Amino acid sequence: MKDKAPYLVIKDLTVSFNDLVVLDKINLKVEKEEIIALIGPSGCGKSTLLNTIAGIYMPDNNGTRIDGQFMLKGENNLGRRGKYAYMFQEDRLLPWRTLLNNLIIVDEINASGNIRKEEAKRQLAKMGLSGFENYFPKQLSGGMKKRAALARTFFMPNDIIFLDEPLASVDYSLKLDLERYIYKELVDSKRTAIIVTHEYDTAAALADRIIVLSSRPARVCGEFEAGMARKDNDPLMARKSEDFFRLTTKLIEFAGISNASNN
Amino acid sequence: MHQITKNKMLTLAKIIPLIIFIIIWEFLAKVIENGTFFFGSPSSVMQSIYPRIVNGTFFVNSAITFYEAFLGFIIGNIIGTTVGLLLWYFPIAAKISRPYIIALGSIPIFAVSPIVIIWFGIGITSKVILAALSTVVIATVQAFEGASQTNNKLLDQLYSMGADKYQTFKMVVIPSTVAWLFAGYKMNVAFALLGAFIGEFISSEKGLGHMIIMAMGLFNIPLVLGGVLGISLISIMLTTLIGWFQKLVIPWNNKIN
Repeated sequence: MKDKAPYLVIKDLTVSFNDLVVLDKINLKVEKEEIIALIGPSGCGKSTLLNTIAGIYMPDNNGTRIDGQFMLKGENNLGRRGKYAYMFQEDRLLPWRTLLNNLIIVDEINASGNIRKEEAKRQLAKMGLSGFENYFPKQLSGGMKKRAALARTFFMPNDIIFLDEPLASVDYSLKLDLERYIYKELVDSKRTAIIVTHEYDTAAALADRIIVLSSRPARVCGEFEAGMARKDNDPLMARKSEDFFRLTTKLIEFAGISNASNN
Repeated sequence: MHQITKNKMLTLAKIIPLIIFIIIWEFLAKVIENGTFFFGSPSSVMQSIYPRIVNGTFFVNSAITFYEAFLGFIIGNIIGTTVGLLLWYFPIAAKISRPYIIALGSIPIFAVSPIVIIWFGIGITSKVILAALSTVVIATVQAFEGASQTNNKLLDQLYSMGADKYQTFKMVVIPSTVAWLFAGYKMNVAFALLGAFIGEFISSEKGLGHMIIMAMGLFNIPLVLGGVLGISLISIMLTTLIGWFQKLVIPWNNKIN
């Protein structure tokens, strides 16, 4: 069903800030159209990992490779910018642009001259934001801004999507809705995703594979196969299955053990 | 309906202190010996400017001062804003020029005004230049500071989307600096007027500054105060204009339901 060639390969990724090692030799292989959930204690460096791959932070100069290419500190990591559709933890909508223009900025930056206005409207409608195209972010609730940021992320043309805590601070029923939306969008547009979350249930419902990072300095300390949503093509159905409970239980036990060994 | 009466009440409440002030001033000027000579009085101010309003000289003088201040204001702010934003774009230039900007900003405009008048004559040009000089540093600092305060998270958002520096400048830095710019422009109304006024005060043939210094020579304090009134009216006009312009340029700030 899926082609098994790795699509994004991270090798020995190490990042430190002033001698504080945040990420310690992270290795990660992501297959095409795979959905990866990245979990780990808060502050362990999950966001740092995404930021570094996306070219915002520089990795250390000690053999980090991304897609086989050596990353050198001081040298340009900037070339990685614009390669991934990246949704940060905060909505980061531009306050001076309406929702529609916050999506369209994607096309303005890419300078292909092709402004996909209708598609932007469709994307907003999918998130239940039709009628709000000409509103400024300030006029919207936190949940709506989150959905707008998600819409913008999926409006980006990139094959690989990073979502950093896309479901944090939304109410439970919205969370279930958004899980389905994210899953459907990823599958429909055949995209590959890394989703950072601290909620085990979201990880289990959405992901094909769950990767657990240890507390700082972060290393990959566990890996779980999931893929529950694939059966019915629906993360909500996955939540009702017995496998789902078994997996979340395993994750909870695992977290308990790794926390105990840290203390 | 309720909102309208509330607004009317507020306008009324704004006027009341002025009326009280005028009444007390008029009363004290009458009561104190030589009060009108030293402090003027509302009625004597009106008496001194009324004939000048009728023959048009008050209007002409006000218009000239307004013109000098306004033109200097525009020139100073355009140059200052441009320089300030460019300094954000070229951080090394900002580091090099910082002490010079501070030095320029600390020179009292009064100190350089004789030189400006010698260079550019006693006509309108020298006043425009003085008004521009009075505003340019504030506009520069305000633009640079505002640009430097741009939310890094928004910049990272754009960088992650593949934007280059010019695009982030255009799409993030400038819009987020606009509020700072207008704060500076509002301060600069007073400084532009001060610059124009100092120029007129030192040497001129027309303008409210000219009128004031002439009246001072004759110890005509009511007319001096009439000139001051003219200057504050210009200041209110300019500030209101900028307020309108700001609402036009920053719609995202006043469009809250």
